[in-house]
Amino acid sequence: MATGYLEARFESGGPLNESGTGPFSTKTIYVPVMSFKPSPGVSHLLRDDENRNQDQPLTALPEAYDPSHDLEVRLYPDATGFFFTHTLGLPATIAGVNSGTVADMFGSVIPGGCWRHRWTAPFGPSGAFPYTTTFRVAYKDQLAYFTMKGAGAQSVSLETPEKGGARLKVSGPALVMQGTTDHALSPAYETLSIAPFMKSSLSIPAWVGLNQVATEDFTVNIDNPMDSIRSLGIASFFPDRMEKADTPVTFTGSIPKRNVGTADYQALVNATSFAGTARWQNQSSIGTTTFKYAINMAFAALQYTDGGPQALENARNLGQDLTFRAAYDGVTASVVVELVNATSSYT
Amino acid sequence: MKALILTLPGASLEPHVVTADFGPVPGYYHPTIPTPVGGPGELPLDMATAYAENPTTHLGLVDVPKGDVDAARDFWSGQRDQLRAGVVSAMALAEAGSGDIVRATDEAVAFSESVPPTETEET
Repeated sequence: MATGYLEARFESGGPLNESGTGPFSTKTIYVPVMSFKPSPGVSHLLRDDENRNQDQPLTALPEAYDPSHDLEVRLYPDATGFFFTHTLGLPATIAGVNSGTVADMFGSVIPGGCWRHRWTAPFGPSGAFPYTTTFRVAYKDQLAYFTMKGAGAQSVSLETPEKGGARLKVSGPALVMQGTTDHALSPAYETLSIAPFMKSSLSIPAWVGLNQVATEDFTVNIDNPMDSIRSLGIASFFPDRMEKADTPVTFTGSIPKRNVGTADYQALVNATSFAGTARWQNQSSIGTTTFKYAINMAFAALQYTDGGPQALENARNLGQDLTFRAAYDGVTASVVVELVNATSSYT
Repeated sequence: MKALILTLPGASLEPHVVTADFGPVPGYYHPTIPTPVGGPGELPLDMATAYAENPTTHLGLVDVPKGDVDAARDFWSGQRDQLRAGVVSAMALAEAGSGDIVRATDEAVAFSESVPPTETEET
């Protein structure tokens, strides 16, 4: 039986470079990954352009490393909160109470024993740095262990395929990847009795032209641009600083429709702003309550950015492919993301 | 009375499965609700002590008042059907090729061994 694990903690004091040792968040998670690929990103100095009177390739030297990571995990309630925090920064967390005074954005009353985490645009920690994570990776059967520091969530997608459960794909650059001795950790996972979110969880309560044509699929992408740079703060093969790039955190996505609808077409060509919501309601209840784990998203001003009707052909169902982007209309936050789960804090 | 508790920092307040170097630790563990040990159908105290003393596990042995132990036993017996259903559905998904067979197997072992065999059964 294969063994291995991925442990993740936030770097609460800012991105850690080769000489950084902490601090870390209290929140620790063993991610039930389907796949985690750490890449060292080596770039060796090749010296074959030097004339040394040799008709053979010359030895290379280490020059620069640019590590990166690529992760895929099912949308489990705790893992979802962890990676939303990784991407969007720390949420505003409020504990549910049995008196009925705490509700989610759809008005569902959140009881005691549940926590509502809310991320509101503009996202991310204030300042120049994104929120980063240290990953400890154990290829246990191969007796190979790595630590990756300063890992950022640059590109995140939230997909809800027909089968196989909803998935979160996270990738981005990191500052350091080093082989280490055995971390000697024992993973502890959320029990399997808590289901991941899946297609049956998802509904789109509000969207332009919603009642006109049926939605086929819904995917959300979060672009959180960042750059790993060498600021000459320390001498290292690795970059020493992870900085936010110029553009803000942007939510985009795709929403293919089963049929061609004129409301969508008009919204596309006129760049009409419209409000939209998406809601994932899990089949599992939180703790001993009857409240279902939930992910809620509200977009104040969505605009279609690309797409159009599929080709007219001899078929009964002809749909349309549409991509959207969440924007700020000058009044309401462009995106609000909520997660209700059993985790009391992501700090 | 003694009980084991999950000490993983920041763990969600749900039952967890712990996988140590030697494989899955029998039973389920929660950050705030203790898992009683030493009673019928529970981990023997010496085994629980060994797990808690293993520096690589996220388990701690705590003293719990009798009333809290009874409440914890009620909680875990109430969870049992749900936990079993979770294992069954995960195994089905894994066998159908759309789940994680390693994790499902680990948890199946944790579940099946949550009632340790008696000496009579072992021989």
